[in-house]
Amino acid sequence: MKRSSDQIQLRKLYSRILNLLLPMTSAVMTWKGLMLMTNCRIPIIVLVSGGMADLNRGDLFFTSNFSDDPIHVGETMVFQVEGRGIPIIHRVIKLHKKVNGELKLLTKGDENPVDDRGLYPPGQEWLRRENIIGKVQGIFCCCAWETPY
Amino acid sequence: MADGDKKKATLPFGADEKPIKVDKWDGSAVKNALDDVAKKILTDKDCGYGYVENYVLMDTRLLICTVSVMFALAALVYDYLRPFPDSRPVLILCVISYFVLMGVLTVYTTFKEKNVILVAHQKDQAGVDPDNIWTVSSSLRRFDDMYTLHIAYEDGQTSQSREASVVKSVASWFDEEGTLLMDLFTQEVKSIHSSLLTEKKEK
Repeated sequence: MKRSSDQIQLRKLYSRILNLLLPMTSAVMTWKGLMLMTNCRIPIIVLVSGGMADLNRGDLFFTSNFSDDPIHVGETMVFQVEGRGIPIIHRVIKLHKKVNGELKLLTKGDENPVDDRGLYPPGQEWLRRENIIGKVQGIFCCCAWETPY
Repeated sequence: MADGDKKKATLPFGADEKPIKVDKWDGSAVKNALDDVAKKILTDKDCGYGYVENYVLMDTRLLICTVSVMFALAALVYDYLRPFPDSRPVLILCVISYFVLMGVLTVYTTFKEKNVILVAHQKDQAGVDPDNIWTVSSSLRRFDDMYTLHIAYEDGQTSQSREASVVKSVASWFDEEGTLLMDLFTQEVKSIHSSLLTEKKEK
């Protein structure tokens, strides 16, 4: 009698653990699914600090990173350089394309007086394709929850 | 032959047990309390009918969930070890498998498991004939006080099945403070049980 009540207790406990885990795993898998759909390491990103025209802290950005979607001057990109953990969202102001398809980009925050060269690691004058996380495709503004610093 | 009535549920249930008290406004606690008593009446060896609980239904659901969680963990770990573009194939496999399994889970709980809270086997006394199967399901809608208790009986030998249910307000079995009136509810369950067995004898 005790054994069967142990069995049911075990099952109830395990069932409860699973009920806790499943919403979390669903969130994680939805995120991974988005990554796959947009081909982008960070498909949705929150703006933490200002520096761009019309883009405010707390806005959500949807990014994509398709290789057949060429980058143009004037587009807003999300990029990451070595030494800086947080990705940066700025506009492309200069673009060089070599014959073999290799890209060199220069970016600048709209409201900054100078370009981003100061943000790139010493010795790096241009952003390369590997630094780009994705291109901003859409904005969901005014989410305004607490953003981590 | 009163084979079902041989082990009568003794009332009140285990006199040494504390009365069950729940928050009468908490629908889920109320349902769980009623479900637990109904299950105990059918399965308890000492003060119930002593039927053997069959865990297959619940275990299948637990299995589907476990496999889903494994896929999610695999995706997490693999993506961590080999960052994104490299992990693409594995991620695709895991994500698709996960959502397919979620679909399977939804179909399973909606159509197979439904509201079943217990599947129990009534073993034949002589150990010769196949078991009779008792399936108990219950439902209590959110913010509703009408509790439905449904018991289905499937005869092992004739494969005939009968079912009976009772739909009553939970107020019929709980007092003002939320204490479960064990005698009343036990009586309710036993009478459904007996009615299913006597129907069989008449046929």
